[in-house]
This record gives sequence, structure tokens and C-alpha cells, in this order.
Amino acid sequence: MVIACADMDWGYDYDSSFTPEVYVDASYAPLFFAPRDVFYDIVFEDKYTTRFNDALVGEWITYLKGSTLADTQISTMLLNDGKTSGINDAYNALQKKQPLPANLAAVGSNEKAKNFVEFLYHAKVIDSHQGRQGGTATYEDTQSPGSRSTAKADWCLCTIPLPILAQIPLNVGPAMGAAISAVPYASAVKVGLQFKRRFWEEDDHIYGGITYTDLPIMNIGYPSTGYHSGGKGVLLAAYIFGINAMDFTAMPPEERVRKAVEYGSQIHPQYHEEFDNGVAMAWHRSPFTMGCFGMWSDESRARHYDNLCQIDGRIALAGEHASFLGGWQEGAVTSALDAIGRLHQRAVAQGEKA
Amino acid sequence: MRSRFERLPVRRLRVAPLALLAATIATAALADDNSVTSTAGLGNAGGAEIYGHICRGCHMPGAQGAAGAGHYPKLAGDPALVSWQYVALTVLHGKNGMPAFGQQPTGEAMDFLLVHLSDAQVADVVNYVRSNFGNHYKGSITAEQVAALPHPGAASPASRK
Repeated sequence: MVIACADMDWGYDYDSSFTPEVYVDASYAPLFFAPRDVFYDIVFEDKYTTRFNDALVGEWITYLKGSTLADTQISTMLLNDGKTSGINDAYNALQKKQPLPANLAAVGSNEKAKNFVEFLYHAKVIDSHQGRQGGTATYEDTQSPGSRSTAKADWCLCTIPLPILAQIPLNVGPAMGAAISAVPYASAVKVGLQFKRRFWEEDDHIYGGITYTDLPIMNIGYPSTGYHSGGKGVLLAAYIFGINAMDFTAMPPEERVRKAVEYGSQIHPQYHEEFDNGVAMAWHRSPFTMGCFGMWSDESRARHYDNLCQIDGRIALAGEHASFLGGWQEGAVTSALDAIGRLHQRAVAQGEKA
Repeated sequence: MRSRFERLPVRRLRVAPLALLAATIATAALADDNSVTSTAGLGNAGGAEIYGHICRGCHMPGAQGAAGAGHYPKLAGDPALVSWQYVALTVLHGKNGMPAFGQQPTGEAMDFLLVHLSDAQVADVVNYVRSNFGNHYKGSITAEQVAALPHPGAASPASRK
């Protein structure tokens, strides 16, 4: 086998993108390949998993010539997806000295064939965070940097936002892996401005509601409570998406506030006189989400959504990003209920094996 | 996605020509920087403006990158920038939450949220990051070279077998 490293990734600590020459079967993906990486010549390669199958199966057939394994059996084991009987069953049967699956009975009588089964099995499970019996998560207590703890569970329902999850080593198949890396997150910014008095009520008779504007601040939201309560008041002085949000994100926070005052004063001249203080939030600077919410297109829905929402071994994902109600708590809740329901069905169906 | 914007009380970006003109005038009136935050402004933006108003939000001033639960890559001194194709493809296709700037917006919601850069702008910003922040990669690229790369939504060369 030839293994060549073509790592063009920026995350040297996180993943590598070995060329797919080693590829035979999707279940090998965690070992060798970060989906959605750039390859020389090929560019973005999402669906390469069968490209080298014929050559690889051919190599193994040559190697195993003279063993008890028929060519079709070798091919079946190499290309088996791990869900149907094949390499895993053959390995387990050998370990437990139990009868082999009928289609692989010939393995038991030949040393070369037995070694091949053991090799193939271990090649698939090495470095596996997600075993057949459950999942393990390694985490760091941010109060004690560098610490490492682990949590084990039968199942993992993961609600980590995709831009973060895409950077965490995760032992899922290439389909879910590609889906995790394929959802850009919307840019959004809010600016809150505090004024010395509630001039919008006192001067302009505005009680709640929203001003929509062509200005880069896009929206001004007025409080719906505490009318004429005296003293200072706070406006949602900007609620921004798209290019304007990217631009505001790129500004230092003080400048975002200054710009919100500047633009908003074209609508409410009182801003100049009454401005007291302000705060700005850009979702792409939120360290635990790196964005506001997942942006799906019709194309990416068609290509990746089902793969994102499937149960992959012992892992399922939930959150607004795994729903059709993107950006809403409702989407996150319904996604969680749906995922838990499916995990429950799976666990019940598996009985004691779960 | 669509449902979010049916319910979110936000105005569409596709505005009537008169409103667009008003927005352009308003932006021009306060133009104390090379604002890209209007349709016209974005259309005229070159590499430095695009980095300053779009990329910098995540890749940070000086292209120093950032780390939280995840990280934004530091482009300053990034050895991967040796490949202009890699940089251009990343801008075109996005990666790990980074938007695909080569994506043509389709539908109202995407019109509103997506930012599309022309091939010339992609070339500009690629040249900019490869020749600033301590990066000294030789060889500027052109819009034609970017146009020759696969774009989002187009058939991928990977399908060639």
C-alpha cells in the first residue's frame, strides 16, 4: 500500500488529508482522511471512496493467492461497510473460537486468511473514539488549561455548533463528516445603546416595534415594556446580517458602537445628545459558536442534510443546524426531540446489545 | 432557512432602485472609510477592502487568527498559502463554517445572507493575503485563473472518473 501525505489543511493539529490511495471502504475514513479537503489536481473531493477499490482489491487478491479465501470473499470483506456480516463477524468469531459466518467459513482453516482478517479488523478500529459499545468524549476543563478528562456513554447526542464540531477529532463516517464541514454560519451583529432618557417615547411616541432601514444598522428595536419609566433606556440599535454584519464584525467593538450611533442619528437626531453607553456583539466572535446559525442552501440540503441527521454508529447530532427551522430555538428543540426519539428506537430495537 | 426569514421582521436586501440610491447616498455621506456595506461599495471593493471589511471579522487584524472552542486560521505566515489554488478554492467554497464566497445567491433568504465575490475580487483578495501580513508569495493571479477553478454549485471535477 502507498500512503502519501498531501496535507494542505490549516489545522495540522486536527486532521490530515492523506491521499485516498489507501482507500477501500468508507469505514476507514477516520484513519486517513478529513472530508472536504483539497487534494492536488482533484480539488474538493467528496465522493472518492470507490476510486481505488479495484486496484486495492486486486492487490490483496494477489497477496492472498493460495489461501483458502476466494476472490469474491476478499472483495466482500474489504468493501463491506461494517454493518452487514463480514469482517467484524469473522474477527469476533475467531476471537471467541465460534463458528464463522457461513460465507467466510474457509477463513478458519488457513493461517494467512486468519491473519488477514485480524489485520483488516484492527485497521478499522484503531484510534476509534466511537466503539461498538458506546462513545468517549475527551474534554478540557477551561479552568485548568491542559487538563484532560473523559466521559463515556452508550450514546452521544452532540449539540456542538458545526464550525466548532468540524474542528474536533470525531470518529464518524465520511458522509456525516462532510456534512459537518459543509454548513457555513450566518454572520450577525447586535448593538445595544443606552440613552440618558427614553426620547423615542417622550419625543416621538414610539412604543415598541421596529424601524427598518437601508442603513447598515438594518433594524432598530424599541423596548415593549417600561414605557415612560423615567431614567435611562436601552435600544437594540442595530440588528444586522449579511455583508453589513461582516463589516461590523471586522470593526473593534468601540467602533461598532460609534457607527451605530452615527447611522442611527440619521433617524433619531436625539442620539447625539442622549447617548450614554453601548455594547456590541458579533456572533462570529462568539468563541463557542463561531457564527450565528447554519446557512443551508437547497443544494447543500439535498447533498448533506440527511447525512448530518443520520445516527452514525453511536453518535447523533441535534441543534438548529440539524433542523428545517434554522436559527430558531424551536428548530433546536424539535431537532433534539427527533434525535432522542430515533436513538430510543434504535436502542430498544437493539435490546441488550444497546 | 426560508422559514426564519418569513418570520424574522427583516427587510430584504433587494430594494427598489430609489431606495438603493438613497442607501448609496447615505453611505457616501458618511464615507470616512472604504465602506463595502452597500451593493455599489462591495462591487468596487478590491483585495485590501475585502480583507478589511469581510475577512478580518474572523481572521482578525494582521491576519493573526483566533482561538476559542474552535479556531480561525492565522493567515500570517501560513505555509498553505504557497498554493494560490488552495487559497482561492477556500474563498470560493468556504470551509468549516466559513461561507462560500463563490456561491451565487439563490432565493430571497440567501440573497439576504450571502456575500458573493466576483472572480476578479477573489483573485484580488487572494493576492492580497499572499503578499501581506509577512507573506511574500510571488505571482499574482488573475480573474481568468480563478474562473478556471470549480465554483460552488458547478459540477465538480471529482466526478470525472
